[in-house]
Amino acid sequence: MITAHVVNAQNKHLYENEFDEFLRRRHDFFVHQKHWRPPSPDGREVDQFDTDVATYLLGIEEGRVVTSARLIPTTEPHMVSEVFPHMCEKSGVPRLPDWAEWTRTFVVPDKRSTGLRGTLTQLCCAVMEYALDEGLTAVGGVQETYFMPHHGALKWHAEPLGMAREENGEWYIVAYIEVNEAALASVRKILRIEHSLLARRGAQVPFVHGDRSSIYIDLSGRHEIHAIHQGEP
Amino acid sequence: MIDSDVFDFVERCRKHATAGSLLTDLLATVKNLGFEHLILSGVPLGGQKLAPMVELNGWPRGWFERYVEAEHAAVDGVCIYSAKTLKPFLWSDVPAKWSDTEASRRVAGEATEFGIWSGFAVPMLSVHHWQSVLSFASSTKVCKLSARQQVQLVTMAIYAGMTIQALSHDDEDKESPLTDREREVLLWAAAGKTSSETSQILGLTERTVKWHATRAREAFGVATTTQAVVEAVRRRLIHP
Repeated sequence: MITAHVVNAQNKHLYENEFDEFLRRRHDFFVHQKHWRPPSPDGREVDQFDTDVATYLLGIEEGRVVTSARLIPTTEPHMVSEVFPHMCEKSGVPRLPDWAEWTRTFVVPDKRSTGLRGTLTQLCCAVMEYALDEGLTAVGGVQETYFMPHHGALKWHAEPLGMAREENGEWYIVAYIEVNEAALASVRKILRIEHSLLARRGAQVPFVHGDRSSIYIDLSGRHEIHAIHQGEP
Repeated sequence: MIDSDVFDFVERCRKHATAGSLLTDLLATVKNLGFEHLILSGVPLGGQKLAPMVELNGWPRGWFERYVEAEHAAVDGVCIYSAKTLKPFLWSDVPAKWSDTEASRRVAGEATEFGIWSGFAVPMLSVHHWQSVLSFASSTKVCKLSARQQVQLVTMAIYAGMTIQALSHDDEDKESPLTDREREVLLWAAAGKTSSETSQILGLTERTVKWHATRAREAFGVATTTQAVVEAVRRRLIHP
């Protein structure tokens, strides 16, 4: 079972090695396997959306980064708004503080079993847990149509923002998954777990209440997060 | 067909509580695109039986029976190609290697007796099978779909596929036919280890390893451990 470490601009220094490993695994996947991106001479895949507004969930198991997710507030420039706005013909590009774009998910090859209790489902569970914790109401973005039935299997609801379409020989759709307690409960039931998959170390940045000068510090090491609002009355 | 018809279908998907009501709705909706029949099924591999893998059966009754009875799945180019691609395709675009065999042409010929001449297929992930395919069939000789109609059909297909996955409950409470130990023994067998080697790896006696292998064979009703490994992989119980 993975532990999903929440990594953001404030605590990234605690994850130097893991973050570098994450960028190399991204290069393996998005450059060598998917051919979505040109090779990078340093073997790390980084794009224009890897900025300080991004929050990463690094799925770590037995000391390795085996899976990942990148979450970006849709109020910031994100892949759908900058690259795929034409795929939101039904609803328009979302620009909501409590909607997060979910991108850069891979699973390392030896963990890529398609069984429903595998690494991908564990990552989905961690994303849903994080989204609920942070008060998000939807997570999603551009997705390969082929994998959409996985959301169904988790009993998740995903709203399309436009029609599926073919781009560069692959089929994609922009869809957002509803974040709620039921969605977390169903994926946990499938995984047969009741515990948190998240680890929060060091300074935490609240995802939604985007005053980025206010920092949450995890004093307990795990669950109870106490807010220290800096510069607020 | 206009886009809002597609999004209306997507919206209705949330309310379908049975595969039957989803099938009726999807059949009625895709009729507007010229498709009278459809089937959503796991893609059979290596002699797997088609019938238990079918999730939405909107084929003409006589045709489905004949297809299963004659084991057409093993030779039908559309079915074979459905296991080899992740992308939606027109039946007429199946490479000749699979569609132009005598047996595949015979299947296509028989289908016309049931009003099935052309079609469009959408492969997608399945958590139970190798993958699934939703195949739409038309009685027109040549399936003419505009780019927009293809987009509409794919969108409806994946939402139908999501809905079917959401309606299936078989993974939730059903006990795995194998214990963890039996799975472990089969995994090492898949890696080419003998019972003796496996016993050393797992710290068990060889007799115990053989006993777990026997139980695994019994669970599947097969004669050899190799068959048990194949069955365990096929059912996605082990991932060598």
